[in-house]
Amino acid sequence: MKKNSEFESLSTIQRQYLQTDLLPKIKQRIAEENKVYFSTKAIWGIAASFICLLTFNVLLVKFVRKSDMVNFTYPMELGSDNNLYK
Amino acid sequence: MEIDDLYHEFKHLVYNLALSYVQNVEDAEEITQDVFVAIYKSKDQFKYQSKISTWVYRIAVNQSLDFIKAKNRKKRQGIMNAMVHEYGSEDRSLLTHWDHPGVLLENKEALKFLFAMINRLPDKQKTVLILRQIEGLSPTETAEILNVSIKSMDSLYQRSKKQLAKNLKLNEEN
Repeated sequence: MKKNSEFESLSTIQRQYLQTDLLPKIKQRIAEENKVYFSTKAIWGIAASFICLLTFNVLLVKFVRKSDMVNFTYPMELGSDNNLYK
Repeated sequence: MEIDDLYHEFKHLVYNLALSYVQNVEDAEEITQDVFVAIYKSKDQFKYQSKISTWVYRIAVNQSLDFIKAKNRKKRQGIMNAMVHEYGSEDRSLLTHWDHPGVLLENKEALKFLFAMINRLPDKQKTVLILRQIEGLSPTETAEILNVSIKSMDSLYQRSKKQLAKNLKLNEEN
């Protein structure tokens, strides 16, 4: 091929029409990807809720329970006259 | 902006661009699918600051280049596996055959050789050549798709033509 005509020959390429209908396949792939996307999202949601719950419990034990324990009086620790377990 | 409407409006544009990158129907159809899945995923990010066709072209260029990279990677792995395990057990589906349906029979051999040389160009040079020479886009549209200034695009185009001429010369001498 002569160098001068090399670029011109690229312009001779004829436009093609897509013969196959790819839309059903595309829609199927989109549906599959959505399924994966939502299940991944659900897994992350469950994991996040679990971590939040765990953090809440740790904080509850560390702060709330401790302050409660200061004033908390067990029935056993009441005076012997009022001991409910006797 | 429904995927059905986008598909019917741009399917031929995407398919022809993909054909310019891979030069066979099967791979071009696969890229077309990839492009419309990518369009669906990113359609909410489109801000109507450019023409829809520019945005579609941009996605199609990126998907075509990704497809080629993935295929070359698989091919390399296949060759390695064939060397390690059994010689000649390379997956035949990975072997690219050249069959561009838009090429006239009398130009087939010449264009096959020309495309082989274009495929050796770096991604950006290859893209600018395809968009300007095969797709026949204007300098402004090409620059927009590549997200560069018209001046940069033009210098890239000149460089790609020079590099292609150099590749052709080298191969004609050998």
